[in-house]
Order: sequence, then C-alpha cells, then structure tokens
Amino acid sequence: MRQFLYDRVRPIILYALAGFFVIWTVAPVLWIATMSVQPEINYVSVPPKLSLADVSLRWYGEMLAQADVAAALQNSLIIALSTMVLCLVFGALAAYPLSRLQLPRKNWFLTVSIVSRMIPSMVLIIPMFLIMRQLRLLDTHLSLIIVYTTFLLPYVIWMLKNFFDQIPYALEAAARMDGCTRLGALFRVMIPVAGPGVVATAVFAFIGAWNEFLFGLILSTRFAVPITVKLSALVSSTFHSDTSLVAATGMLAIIPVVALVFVLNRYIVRGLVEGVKY
Amino acid sequence: MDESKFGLLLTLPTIFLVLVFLALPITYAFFMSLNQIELTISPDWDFVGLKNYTGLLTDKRVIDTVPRTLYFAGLNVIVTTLMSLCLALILNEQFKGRNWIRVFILLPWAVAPVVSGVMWRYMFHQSYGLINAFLTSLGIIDKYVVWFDNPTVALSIASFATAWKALPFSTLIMLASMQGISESLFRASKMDGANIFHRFRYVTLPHLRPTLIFVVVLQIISSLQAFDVIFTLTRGGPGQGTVVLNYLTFVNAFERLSIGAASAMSIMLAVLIVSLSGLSIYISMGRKGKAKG
Repeated sequence: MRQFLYDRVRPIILYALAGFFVIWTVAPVLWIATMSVQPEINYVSVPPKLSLADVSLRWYGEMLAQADVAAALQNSLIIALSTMVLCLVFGALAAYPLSRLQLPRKNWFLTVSIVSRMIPSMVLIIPMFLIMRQLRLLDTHLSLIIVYTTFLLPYVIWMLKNFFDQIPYALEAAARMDGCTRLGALFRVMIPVAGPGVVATAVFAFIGAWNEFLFGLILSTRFAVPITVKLSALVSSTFHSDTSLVAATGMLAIIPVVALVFVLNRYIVRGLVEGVKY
Repeated sequence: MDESKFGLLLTLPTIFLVLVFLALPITYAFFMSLNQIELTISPDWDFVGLKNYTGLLTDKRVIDTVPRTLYFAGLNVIVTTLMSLCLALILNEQFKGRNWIRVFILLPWAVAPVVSGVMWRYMFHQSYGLINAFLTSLGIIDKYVVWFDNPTVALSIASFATAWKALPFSTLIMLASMQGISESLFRASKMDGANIFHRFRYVTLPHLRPTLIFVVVLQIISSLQAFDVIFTLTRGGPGQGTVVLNYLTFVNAFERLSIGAASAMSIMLAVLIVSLSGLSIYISMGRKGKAKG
C-alpha cells in the first residue's frame, strides 16, 4: 500500500513542483516576449485580448531601424566580444603559471584574485569615471572593454585554473618532450584539452560584459552606449509611443545571451560550478 | 629564463590591469571619502578626515535605508534559499523531461539584471501587468491594483525579481553538492527503514549545510549590491520606498553629487561585502574539505 501510494503520488508532486518552477522562470520572459509581438491595445485591455492574428515582428523592425538602438546592439557586441577575447588571452596566460609553474608568492596571487572578485562596482565607479576622463577615454568602447576585462579577469583566471588543474601533467610533459615550448604547451595542449572549460569561460565573460549596466551608464554618453543602458533610457522615457517597442528592445537585449545559454548549456553549468570551487 | 620569472611574465598583463583599474580606483575612492566634495557647489576637495564616515551614522537618509535593505535582503535570502533547495531536490530525482527543465531554469541567469527589472515591472504593471490580469480572471481582485504605489509591495517585488535572477546559480551549486552525496548512504538509510523525509533530514540536509550557508551569504552580498534591478523596476520609488543602501550610494554620487559622502558609503559597503565574502569562501573551503573527506 505504501509503495503504491509512493509510486502514484511521487510523480504528481514532482511534476507539479517542476511545473511551478518552469512557470516561475519563464513567465516574466514570456510576458515581455508576448508584449513585443502584440499591439499595445491588445494587452492594455481588461482582460487582455491576445490574438495570434495580430502577431507581428514590426516592433522589432522599428527598433532595429532606429540608428541609436542598432548602434547600441553593435556597441554591446563589440564590447562583449573584445572583453571575451582579452579575458581569455590574459586569463589563460595568468591561469597557466598559477596552475602549473613555480611562482613566487603564488598564494598571494590567489588571494588577490579572490579579493578583487568581491569589490563592489559602486566603490570603483566614481574614481573610474575620473580616471577615464583623465585618459580621455570617456564614451569609448575601449573604456568599457578595459573595465569589464579587469572586473571579469579574476573570475576567468579562477575558472581556467580549475580547468587546467584537471589536466594530467603527463600530457604536457609529453608535448615538452616533443620539443614544444612552454607557451606552445599552453596554447597547443592545455587550451585544446581544456576545450569545454574554455568555452564555458568564454561564454561567462561574454555574458558578463553584455549584461553589465552601471559602468555602461556612467562611462558612456552617446557613442559607446550599450544596449542595457539604451533599454533603461527607453523604459524611463515617457515619450515612446508604444510599450511594445520597449518590450521588443528588452527582447533584443536578451536574445543573444539566451541563445548562447540554450546552445551551450552543458558547458555553462560546468563552468559556473567550477567558478566557485576554491 | 627560469620557471618563476617566466610565470611572473605571463601574469604581467593581469597585474597591470588590476593595479591601474582596481587598486588605483580603490585608493582614489578612499582619499575622496576623507574629503568633503560637493560638486553642486564647487569642484574643490576639502579635507575633513573621517567626518564623512561619522556623518553616515547620523544621516537620516542612510538610516532609513537600513530597514529597507534588511527587508530586501531577508526576503531575497529566504525566497532564493528555499526555492533553490526545493528545485535542486527535484532536479536530483530521475524523471522524464528533467534535462529540459535543467535548461529552462538557466534562463534567468542569462537575462541582464536591468532587463529582469523591466520584466518584473511589466509583470506587475498597473494597466498591462500579467499578475493583474491573472488575479482578476481568478476573481481574487475585482479591479487592477497599482502595486508599485505601496512601498512594501514595491520592495518585495524588487526582492522577488532579484531572487528570480539568483535561482539558477544557487540551484546549480546545491545540485552539485547533492550529487556529491554517496549513493551508499541512501541505500544504507533505506535499509534501516528511513522514509524520504528521514533521508532528507538525516542524510541530505547535514551534507548540504555548508552549501546552504554559502548560498545565504551570497544572497546577502548580492542584496547589499542591489542596483540594476531597482533602477529599471522602480527607480527607487514610490518616494524613497525602494532606495536600498547601494542605491542611495548611487543617488548621492550621481544625483546629489556629494562625492565625498558617497565614497565613504561605498567604502563601508566594500568592507562589509569583503568580510562577508571572506566568510563565504571560508565556508566553501569547508565544503570542499567535506566533499573530499
């Protein structure tokens, strides 16, 4: 009897809870997605009159046709890609000795890289503004690329170090024996073998840079405005004619990262877990 | 070149970036915090020592943010911890469709905090919110509610939005920790006649304790840093209703231009966060030791 109850009740509870969590996670995204393909009149009416016949991508078209929104997407792409590449290069260079070589004050390095992960952005934002102004880098892609790279590097180094640690020494030793240089061993053996880990780290850096907001808000004014900042300006402005336009912009801001996560979810899960192993 | 010099050479780009764009700004912020800098009045720095710090303790606006921040953090911690524990327990079971759910629940992690602010704003919007439409259709409310008019409700929504964003990550950490529990423990407890609740209480929970504490500390830290979500969700409103500590720092710095006071606040916040993070790392090192042992 008990076993029978267990077998009957268990799936019901499991699926009910799983269903709740899926709705909880997906509902806000689905709602703004719905708003972005429906005319405003449909969802402001009580009750909302959503209709398949009215589904249209014209709000996306309209936003993409606006020069500043298209530019913001392009800015975010340039900034996130450059940050990702710099993070991987500098990160791999620093993670390799931390994982493999004798390094003076290695523990000191590791401590600094952990502590620098904790520094809240709010502390850095005012001085960073002044420093960037001094360097005449305000409102440039470069300023945001530098800031994001500095911010994300400690995470990236840590993830890569954990991935490198899992590679057996013998592989590298064999490469060295075959006449590979130390740098050659890093780029020809370590990075390819740690492939999935490197992909996870790259995605992590890309998403971190794409989603950042505070520095984008303060360090950019016109030419380097990323999509997150553009969106926040649209939301608070009362001059837009149509909420569907804002919803469409919100979707444009998440589609690239959501696509990445769906395609590469296995790598990402591993990367995230590796990143918090100390 | 010997190995250690070579290693040092490889870390040079990182060292350079960290020194110039991390160490320098922090030092800069610290010096600013010792000065009175009111950019609305003049660009001059006026050295005041620790006055900005003592001023924080008597500033009514700062004191007002404390209960708000505590409420925000408390709700965030409770919601995130309970939900991620529950979700991790589900995902640790075998059932059809589990792998799909694992992918779906990653979604909030990918969404930028500013966008999640926008999403939750539209979920609770007074004229086109899904929540209003849903509750009306169930007959729970008879006309649309202006949720964001009530400071407590607005603050709760902000906290929920933050918890929503945090769910995937904390679930993954918990799941990873659960998968470290050896199967033999479960089998042994089953043989001893333990039911599912006993197993949770006496096997899973003790093993998870360090991870639970880690998630709690992580959510306290993220609540202390809450900014992006609130910026697009409520802009601090209604009135000052959702102005939490970190948000006030932003307002002081970029709206009131009280740079000295804002720097002092941010330094205090940083000290608090670094200590809490130190604690969380200490705990997670314990976590690793346990998993190995």
